[in-house]
Amino acid sequence: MLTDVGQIAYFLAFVLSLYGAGASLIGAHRNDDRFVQSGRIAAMLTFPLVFVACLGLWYALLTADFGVTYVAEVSSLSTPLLFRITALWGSQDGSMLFWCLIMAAFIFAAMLRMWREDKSLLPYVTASMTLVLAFFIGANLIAANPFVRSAFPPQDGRGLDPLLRHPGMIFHPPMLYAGFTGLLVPFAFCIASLITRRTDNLWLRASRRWMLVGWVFLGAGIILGGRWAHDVLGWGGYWGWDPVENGPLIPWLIGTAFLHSAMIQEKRGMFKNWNVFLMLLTFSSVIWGTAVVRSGVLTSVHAFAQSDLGPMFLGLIIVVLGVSLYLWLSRLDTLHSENTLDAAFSREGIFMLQNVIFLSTALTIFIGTVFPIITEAVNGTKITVGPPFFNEVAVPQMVVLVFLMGIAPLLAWRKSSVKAVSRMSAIPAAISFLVVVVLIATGTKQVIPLILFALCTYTFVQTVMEYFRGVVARVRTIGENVPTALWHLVQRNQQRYGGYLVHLGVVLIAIGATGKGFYGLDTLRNVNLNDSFTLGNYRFTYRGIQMVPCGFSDCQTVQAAVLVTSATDGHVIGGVYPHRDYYPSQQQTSTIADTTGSFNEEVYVILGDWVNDGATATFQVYINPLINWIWVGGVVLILGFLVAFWRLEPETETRSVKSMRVIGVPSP
Amino acid sequence: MRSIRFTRPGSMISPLLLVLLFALMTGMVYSPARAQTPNPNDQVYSVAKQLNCPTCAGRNLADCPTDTCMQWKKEIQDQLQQGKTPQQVISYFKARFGPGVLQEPPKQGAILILWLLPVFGLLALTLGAVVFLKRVSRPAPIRVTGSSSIHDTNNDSYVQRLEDEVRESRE
Repeated sequence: MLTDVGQIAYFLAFVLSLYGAGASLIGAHRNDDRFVQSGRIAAMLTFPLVFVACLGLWYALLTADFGVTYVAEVSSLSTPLLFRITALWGSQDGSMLFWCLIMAAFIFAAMLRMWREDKSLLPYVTASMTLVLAFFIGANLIAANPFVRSAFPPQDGRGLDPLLRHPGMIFHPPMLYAGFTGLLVPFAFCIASLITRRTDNLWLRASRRWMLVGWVFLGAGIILGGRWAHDVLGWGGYWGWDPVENGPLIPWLIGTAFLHSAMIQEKRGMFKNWNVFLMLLTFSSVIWGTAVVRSGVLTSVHAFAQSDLGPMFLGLIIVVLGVSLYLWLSRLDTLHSENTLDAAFSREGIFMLQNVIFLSTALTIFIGTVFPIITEAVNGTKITVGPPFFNEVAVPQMVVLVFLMGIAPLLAWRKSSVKAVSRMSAIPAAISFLVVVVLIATGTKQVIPLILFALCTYTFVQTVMEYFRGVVARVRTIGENVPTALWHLVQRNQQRYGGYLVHLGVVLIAIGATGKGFYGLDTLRNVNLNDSFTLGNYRFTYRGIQMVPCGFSDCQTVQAAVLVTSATDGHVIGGVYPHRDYYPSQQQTSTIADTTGSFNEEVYVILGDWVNDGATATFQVYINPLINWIWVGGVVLILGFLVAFWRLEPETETRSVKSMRVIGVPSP
Repeated sequence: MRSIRFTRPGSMISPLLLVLLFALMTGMVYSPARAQTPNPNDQVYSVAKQLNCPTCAGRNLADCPTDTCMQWKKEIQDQLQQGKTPQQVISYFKARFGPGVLQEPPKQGAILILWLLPVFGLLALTLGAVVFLKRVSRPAPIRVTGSSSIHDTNNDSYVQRLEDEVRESRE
């Protein structure tokens, strides 16, 4: 019953989002504020309505109403409470509903903002957002309706996909969805400013913070997804250049380019048309990424379902791209630069270079992702573009970005001198030289990782020195003590120093990726009971295998015990208990690794197979140096966002109030 | 406001070219696949690394623990024991399942386009950026830019800039 209420609410949300768009456009056309406000309220109402729809489906999941096909697909009588809740996004149909919930929440928040001097943008912002929402709700209802009932309800459901029974699945999808849908808001501002020809910095100021929110959710979602893959997929890695991983990465890269080049427009009034272009491209790639994640158009390990959503998404991409391009080209004349470029060797110049490489990296990943579809369409052969392509073509470009990240903060706006930059590079360069010497002395021979570690060190030290220089300047001129100086320095320019913290996080991720990529070891071995084998500095002794109670009631678990000792002096490092869980109802096995080792070197063991009741077993072992740096880097990246985003200034300051008004955050 | 420096286009292009050259060089040298430590005792494993897993798309055969992959690995093992070279085994899989079975798409025929497109993309984008920068460097229609908060700092000293900011904050 409540489930039906949910479906009705969902349909109402669809109608209201269409109404919101219509009323807003009529209001804008007739210059009648009543229509605009009516559209705004309709847009806001979609959020509670979609929430009621989610409640309806949650109710069905919690009461195990297997009459609803979706519920029978993703849960069973034995599914624990937590996974009944997360089963809302456990498969295609429900996850689109959840997707719409988050999108509606962003629309709600955007409608709630103050709308003062940018009020002329309101109707078009409302219309753009509600139209996109209407598309998603409509597609969900038509092609992937989670409320559909079956005539013959099964006795029990199939249960949640074993791969999705992981804590990462609680946070990863919501983060990713928030990343994708959050980028709708800045896009809508951009479209509205183009339509109204108010192409000054208004839209940029209004949408930059929204962009930052979408961007950090997307980044956090990507990193969490990597962690999930590492823990659950039993392959020792964290990133496989899978289309579903590339889907969110591409808008994230373009969005990063935008966040940087937006600074040029704010500081120098330049690159306006470029910024509009980047914003439109970011959202177009969001739709593309969504299509990849949700339509299963590219078969992959993540794309759990295939449906007729593909053509619908293709249509949406064409519409979004078409409207974007038309508006951009027809408004080019209003997007003048207020200033001229004084020299290429300047902050502006290096930002431009950085933008080019970001876009080129995104383009490379895009080409690699869609190429198999194209070859299949053209001559019927399906090829696979695996990690080697991306590692050889996209990764080098990312390496250049790491270097630019180190040097760009040294360059002044307008123009800079090579001499000054070299002078300031002296200390970081010396330290990275030292690191290289130490690495060579401790036995590192390969040239490429040495170069990469040197670059990472350079950028890391350079970034830390940005803080250092600022603190020293404050201590010298004002006489503050060091912690106060650091606090005020960051407070004075949160955007900059938060950004540097993000840079540090990225460097940590780069160091982790280098360690895993170049010094990772792995092997596949058959061992007899109580025999052992060696990999790297570790010795692995197989100590037995047994059935153990499974974590979930619908599976059977076989667990192996392996003792890990040092290959050199024999001291015990730890015991690992990798296991395989078999789910009879889904006829699926999930291979869960166990790990030991140290922070800097993870030892990752998988139980492959066994014969004769475990007299011989097969193990796959990975040694993952520095992989933990990636997760730490991810946390630092999020902290950096918080520093950039959170307003530390006291509310009483007039400057703060003024800037709040400009940005449009509702005052408390 | 005068457009400086762009009377000598070389001064602008050379740093760009330098970094690009660096990027290309890194691209040519860098190849993580080569750097992976092989398992000399385990030819099966090294062959499996070069093939795709039939069930978990995108991942290589060695990294995939599914039953089908286990069968494939067994097949590789059998063929190697029959005296085939690793290359012959890979060719066998390629002939049987098509080029889609290879982890690394061959750099030949139509697939060469895949490897060349990103290079063209980078070149086109760079060219676009250079043209764009040149256009931006022309004096724009004169307008008052009162909003610009940038000081016209003639000297390039970083500390100087910071001190300016500090002074601003105390005002």
